[in-house]
Amino acid sequence: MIVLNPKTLSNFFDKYKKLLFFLFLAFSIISLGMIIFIENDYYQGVSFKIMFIHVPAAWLSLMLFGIMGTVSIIGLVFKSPTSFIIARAISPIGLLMSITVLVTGSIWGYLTWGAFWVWDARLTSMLILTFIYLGHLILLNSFEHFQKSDFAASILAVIGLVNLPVVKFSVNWWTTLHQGASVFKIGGPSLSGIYLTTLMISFFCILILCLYWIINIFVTITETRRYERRKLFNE
Amino acid sequence: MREGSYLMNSLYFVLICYGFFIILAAVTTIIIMNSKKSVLNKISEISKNQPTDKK
Repeated sequence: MIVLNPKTLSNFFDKYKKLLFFLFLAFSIISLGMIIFIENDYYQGVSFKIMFIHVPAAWLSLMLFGIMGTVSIIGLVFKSPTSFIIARAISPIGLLMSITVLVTGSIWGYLTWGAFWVWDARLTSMLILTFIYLGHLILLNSFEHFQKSDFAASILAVIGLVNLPVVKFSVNWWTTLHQGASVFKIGGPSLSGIYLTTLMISFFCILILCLYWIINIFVTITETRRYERRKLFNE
Repeated sequence: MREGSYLMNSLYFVLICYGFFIILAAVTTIIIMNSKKSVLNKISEISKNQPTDKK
């Protein structure tokens, strides 16, 4: 990543964009079909189908923040512009995913607990993660020179990494209304076959969509900088 | 009867969730692709207007 310059990576990404889009279409058709025809849960009824958006979005918001924090560290240590551009491309998508988690989680909470919001440890730590994403995005657009904004936003991303284990283990550390882990846990997943398959297909579908967005944002940022450089030389 | 109305109510909320995500995904894709297109257009314009050094 340190060796690759933004333009090389941008050209590499450009080649696989169409493939990603068609993969997304295939996965979305399969997952939608499975979600429609899958049997309702005995206790939760139809409302459990919200899980197929809520859980992948939650995994992705944590995963994207982890990647953003890691590339920010690489950017700060090695002064790599590619790392900063990757962090810049991930930030809005991570924010979208965390907003999706909060919205779908609130609706699911209303149907299951009878309240849209409770100050539960998992919900509160997720809200904090959303605010960190928002702060990161604001910092990226707050300075006139992009190098300054990259530096400030990267520091926030690195500090924000502390929140990731809090979100993940909040259900174990505190007594929460939110249910505990049911897929990534010791002893294997507690979800039965078809539900787990549908969940994984939905996850890959949203993951591919996020990758498609991130790649296009990466290419846009790289091309914008190229345009600005050219404009500067022409003047 | 009450159970049926609860089921319909739940179904509406599930549809709201999926609708929200589909609209969010569509709007995000349109915004990203439009901004990319506008940058690429600007670059091609600047390339056209650049004087060539060939003699």
